[in-house]
Amino acid sequence: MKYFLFLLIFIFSRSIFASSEFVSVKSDEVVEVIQNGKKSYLRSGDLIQIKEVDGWKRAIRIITTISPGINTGDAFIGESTYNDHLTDGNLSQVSLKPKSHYITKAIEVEIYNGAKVQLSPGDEIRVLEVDGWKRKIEIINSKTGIKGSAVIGNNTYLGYLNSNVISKKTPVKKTFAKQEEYEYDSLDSLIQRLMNYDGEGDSVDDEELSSGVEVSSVTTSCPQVGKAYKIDRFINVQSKGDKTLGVPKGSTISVKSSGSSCSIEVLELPKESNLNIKIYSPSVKTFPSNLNSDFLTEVQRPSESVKLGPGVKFKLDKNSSVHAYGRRTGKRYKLEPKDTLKVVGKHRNGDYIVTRNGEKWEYRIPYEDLDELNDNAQLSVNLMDSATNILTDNSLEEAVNTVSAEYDCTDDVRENYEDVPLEATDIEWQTCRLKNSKNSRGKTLQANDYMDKELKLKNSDINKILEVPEKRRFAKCISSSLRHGTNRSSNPSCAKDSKGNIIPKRIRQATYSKKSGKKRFAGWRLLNKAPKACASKELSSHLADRFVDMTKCLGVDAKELFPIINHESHFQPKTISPTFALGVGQIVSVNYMDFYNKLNQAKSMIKSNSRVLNYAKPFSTKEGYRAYEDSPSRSKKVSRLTAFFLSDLKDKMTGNQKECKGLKNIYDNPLTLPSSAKKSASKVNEYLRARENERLCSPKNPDEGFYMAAVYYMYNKKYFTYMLEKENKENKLNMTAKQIKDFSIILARWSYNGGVAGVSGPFERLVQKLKKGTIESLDKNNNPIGNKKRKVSGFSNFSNDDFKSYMSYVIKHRYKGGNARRLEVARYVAGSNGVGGIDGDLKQVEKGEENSCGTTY
Amino acid sequence: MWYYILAFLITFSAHAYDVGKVIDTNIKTISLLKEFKDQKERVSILHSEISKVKKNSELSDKDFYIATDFLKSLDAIVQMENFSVENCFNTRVGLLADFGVRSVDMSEKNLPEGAKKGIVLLKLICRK
Repeated sequence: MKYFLFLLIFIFSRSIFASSEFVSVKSDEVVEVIQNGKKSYLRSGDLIQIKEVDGWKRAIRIITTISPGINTGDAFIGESTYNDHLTDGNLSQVSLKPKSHYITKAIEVEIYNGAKVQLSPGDEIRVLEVDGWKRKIEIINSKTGIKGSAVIGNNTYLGYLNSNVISKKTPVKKTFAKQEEYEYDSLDSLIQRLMNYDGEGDSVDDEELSSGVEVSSVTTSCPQVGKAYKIDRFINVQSKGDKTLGVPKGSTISVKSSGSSCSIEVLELPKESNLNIKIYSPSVKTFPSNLNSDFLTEVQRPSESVKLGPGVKFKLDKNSSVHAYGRRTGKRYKLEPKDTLKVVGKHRNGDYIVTRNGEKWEYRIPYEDLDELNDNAQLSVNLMDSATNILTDNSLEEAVNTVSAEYDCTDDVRENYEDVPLEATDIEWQTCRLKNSKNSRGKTLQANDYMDKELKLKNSDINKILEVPEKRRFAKCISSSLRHGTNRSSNPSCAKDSKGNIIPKRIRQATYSKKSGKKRFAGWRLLNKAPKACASKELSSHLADRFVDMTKCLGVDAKELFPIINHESHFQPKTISPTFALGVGQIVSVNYMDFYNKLNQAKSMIKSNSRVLNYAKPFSTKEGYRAYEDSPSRSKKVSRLTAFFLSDLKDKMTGNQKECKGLKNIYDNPLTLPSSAKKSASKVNEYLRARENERLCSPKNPDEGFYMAAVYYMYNKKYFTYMLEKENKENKLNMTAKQIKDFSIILARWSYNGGVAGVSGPFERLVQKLKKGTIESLDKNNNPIGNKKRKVSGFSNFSNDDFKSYMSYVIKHRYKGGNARRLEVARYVAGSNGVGGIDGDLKQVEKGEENSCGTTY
Repeated sequence: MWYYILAFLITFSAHAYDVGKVIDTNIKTISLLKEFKDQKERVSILHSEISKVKKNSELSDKDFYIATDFLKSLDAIVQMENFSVENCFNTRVGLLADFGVRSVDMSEKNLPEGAKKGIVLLKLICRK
């Protein structure tokens, strides 16, 4: 039976196809046909079915027509005329399945229920037959999601066809950057584009490009071969065996050869690193983009510079000076180019112990300051005397060992002794370069006192700040932190208008290269580039004043927050990352916008005395906050950050507490985006870019950065405390109260970089793993050791270091394949091989005085 | 008949564990709804369904993170009072901040896959 049915269908379809040749008329009043003995001309768009030949004539059937005097039905046409029209293109064969047409400009069509809908460029339609004055179409794909039958005036259709508004050509996919916001052909293509979209490369419009500076291959060439550089950030390299290795921040490298990748030799690792330099031997490769000049400081090759070991005699260059501290009195002295200095030992924290002009008194010079002068070729070392000293003092052994210098002597107090309060005398201020100067190799060293000029603080003001013990302590810590900053800052114009407002100005400019005559965005060039901030008394004290006031205002432990700011910016108010994260908190535009969006929401509720205020009030208590988090998302009236502003910060923002003046200033003068800027990402980016100098100029800087950093940290910590308590209870994780406290701080620190959602996901995964009772054993790099497992009972006996290792592991293995960002987040807290990360950077700054500036959890 | 059953079982099993595909299908459906109320209701249902999948299934790392990150983005979407330009903009910025996007300008490139799907849903329901 089924064979019979199949045969029937086959025969039926054959018979249809046999007589189903259709042609459409392409020209008006050209094709003449005879119907009912009457000659008439067809109109463009008419559709006819071709039938059999009968002598000189060919039978046809008119399917649709708009020609006056012709009806649908049988007619005929001269056979030779028919063939001529086919050849001339007046008639065109139509395939059975209409081909797709594409819309190139927005048009309006009518759908089946009479409603008018708009089709947008890229929408796909099929053109069907004419029905009276109408042309039927079928919408195959549209951005509005509407599909199916629709009609359009036939004349309009023909007009569209002629002017190419309706085109047979498949539209060329536009680049993502040129695409209007939210306009996508389909979900799949949207997802695909999002996956492939390099937002950073295409986020500049043509206007910006035309005003940009042409810099070809900005980051595609290697640094100069043969020179030595200190790298200011961690970089990935590939060894000869194609193994990926990391070179820690602070290492000294030299470029051996350049090309599409750079071959480099690692000359020296930072003191804190526990890596063996041989793993990079003889050379490793990296991409030129990893060796961006923003993160390289040209230094002397370690083999060529003299190690400042015991016995080395040197003088400072004519434009240099350095502060030293009397070993006995702790008082501060300025050492100048006229002084002949001799290294006699090293302090346990790495600082140099020197004597001056052959005197017996000993002085301590911060190692960062003397090393920087040495790296910059600003020391004149007397090699002959040094060699003699080393030999006669028999201090060869001591040159490689740390010694504890003798100080059974009295310092003489020199005239240039700076009178600072006694308690502040052990703070290590740096001598700033007030003007550009040249080192002994002719290299220009830029002035680095940029914030001092702007602050204009009097010595009496500074001493007043330093009278407060906590501020004094942090002035010391910040002074030490500033010395480790990167050389990438901007010193933009902070000129004000007649009303005293900073005049908006860009701090970056688009750069482009040309390829096949086309401009191509090549990155951003930082304008008004400045070296790292100088750890002057003025700047260190001012930053300490603002930092401590902020922590007192918000009620956050300064030692908890210090390590984050130290890691992010080393307290440099004008430092700028390659992704244009700005200032002390290294706030990127997304977080900057988010902060002000939520603050403005809260502010409007406070001003209108909204009922939400009562709703949010209990969230400042543990129970109230738990109730908020436990409620379903759809019943939450405000986001977590808005709730935090309302419940925890309302009184501080609106009150007159002395310490909170920075916060009040932010609350009173928030960033408010014009609605036009909210229409698309490119518009908001453009708006923010045009005002980046405002964020870097005082008085907004550094208060805004400190408060943003602290608010993000605090509200994330609040969430993680809630989350840990909940998970502990629900999943029986055996966490002690101390573990919950410590882990919530660790997670809050982590989320400062990875985001609260970016970190809580891996934590949930870790909990799932622990619930199984066994978990992978990890090596020192937090990678699993084969299939080796260790037994666990929740977080029982988990130290903070264990917790950090496992969090690093789950973050690192969150996605398969390489991803620089995921590694960056994974190393954010504990660093890599003893260097970097929040913990590593804190150790570096505390110089052996653990817990003096921040707390490591 | 056996072939049909086998094919069905294979498809079902594949879908049961391919969280990404389940989410995609639901995003498409929600995006076709016209009323804000309906969309919000469907987003809530989707939230609860994905939560169940996450809780009751042994998911691979990939699927676990897709589900977790997508749920976190839905948390923000279901809180929206309307799909005005202002609300859509603020929610999108909030999502990027929550996922620690630190790229130049507001690029979605570095978002995890689940969060990207959340952003796609947000964009689709906001374009009306």
